[in-house]
Amino acid sequence: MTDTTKWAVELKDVKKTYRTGPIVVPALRGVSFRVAPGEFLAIAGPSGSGKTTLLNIIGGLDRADAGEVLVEGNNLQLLSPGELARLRLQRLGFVFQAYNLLPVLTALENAEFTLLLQGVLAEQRKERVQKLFAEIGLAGLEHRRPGELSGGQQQRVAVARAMVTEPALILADEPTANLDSATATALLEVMEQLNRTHGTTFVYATHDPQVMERARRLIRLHDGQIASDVARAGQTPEPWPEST
Amino acid sequence: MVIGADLARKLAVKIGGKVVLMTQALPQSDTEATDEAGGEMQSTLLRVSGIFRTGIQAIDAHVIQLPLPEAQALLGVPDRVTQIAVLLDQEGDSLMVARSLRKQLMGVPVEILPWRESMPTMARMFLLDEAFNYVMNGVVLAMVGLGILNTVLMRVLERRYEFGLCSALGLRPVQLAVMIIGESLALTAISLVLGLVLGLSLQYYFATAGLDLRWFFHSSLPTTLVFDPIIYSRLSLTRIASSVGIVFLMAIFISFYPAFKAARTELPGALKVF
Repeated sequence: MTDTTKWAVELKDVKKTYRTGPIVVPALRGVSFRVAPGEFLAIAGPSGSGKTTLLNIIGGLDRADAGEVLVEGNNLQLLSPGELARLRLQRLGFVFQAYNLLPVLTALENAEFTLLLQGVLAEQRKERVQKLFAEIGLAGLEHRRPGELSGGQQQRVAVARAMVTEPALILADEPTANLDSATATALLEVMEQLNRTHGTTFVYATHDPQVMERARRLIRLHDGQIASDVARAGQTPEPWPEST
Repeated sequence: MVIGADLARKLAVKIGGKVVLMTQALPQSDTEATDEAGGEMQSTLLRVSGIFRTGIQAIDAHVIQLPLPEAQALLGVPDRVTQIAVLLDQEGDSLMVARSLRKQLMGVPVEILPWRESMPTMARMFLLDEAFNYVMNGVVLAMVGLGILNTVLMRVLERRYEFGLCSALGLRPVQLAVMIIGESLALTAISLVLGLVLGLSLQYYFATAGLDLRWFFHSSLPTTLVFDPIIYSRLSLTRIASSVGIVFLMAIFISFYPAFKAARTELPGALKVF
């Protein structure tokens, strides 16, 4: 019997189909893989290959139609919306493709939002966010609202929000899409550092060659199926579990 | 004799002027009462000692007031009165006072009636007015309820993205629902404070300056009822407390649907940025 808790993420034959009236779009067609804690993994593939859907399902934002999705041993299919929210708050961090910042909050307030939900005291929240802001080049922009920030700056605020709680798993959808090369490099370095020092697991959905190069494992998706799963730097990808 | 202003004008008399008042005396006995003609014609010369103006034409043109002995003499019924009105500070005391008087005057040939029995038409008008007030209150409360529902629901629908994001970041559905209800209560509390300040200010004005019905009716007020045409408002603490309580309960109850809707925000659809 497999000890499921040893995996950060475990997917078994996950399927997802979107229906809009008579139009049926299969997004995932039986995806299975495991992610060990501390992995630095990129999921690549053309648009419509199912990357974002996969990330949403791993993050409990969406439910699979079939298959099993386990995050740190928790079967997401069996969790209530409240339990999923608690898991996201305590164990996961998200970097959304469209940044998804709250427009009425400042950069600092956006970044500390998850800490606020966790009940961290204001002073500690501010301290942690400002430290992270300094590392990713957002110092001095704390009190600007998203509308007053460039796309790249908003992306970094979103990354800071995901990282500031030091979650076990960070799911990042195109985190470098709107960044210049230098900023993207700096951001990836901060993420790698977090990965190395805290053992945070990173799963990216990306088109960015720089992210793919830095990733120690690369899964390529095509038409909702895994086309390849390649480990780098001496890592061996975990074998796919048997389809159910 | 005190005389209405319009009547004085019609008679062309001023204070100090003389007026001859002529009337038919009341029957002296039961035998006489059967006589259709009643008592004999009586007249008396009176001096105008005052002129009053109520603003109600029907009263100002038709009402005169005489000292009781003069009226008794004129009507040929010395030491008799047909009616004694007792004015109370509190309208609500009338039944109790009537009961007490009945007990004290037991055996005396008088009929003691609280005002609602002696003036049934007016009592019915009051009842009608009270019922109308309830209906109006119901309509106002329904409007307040719809206003709260509209405000809270709109605030929920237009913040679908924010709620979706909060939920994605870890805010539980029950926390979202509680937040919506809390917001709704906070809005209601602020509105109540503003409403009370505004309402009590108006109430203070109408309680001190009053509402002059002559602005609206001029001469068409009912002649059978004599009352001060300036009406002063009165508001009890119980009334305020019950209204505030009802509005608060309504706000909680009405917020359930928007709160439920917010708690059911669907992910990841709500995160789409257009």
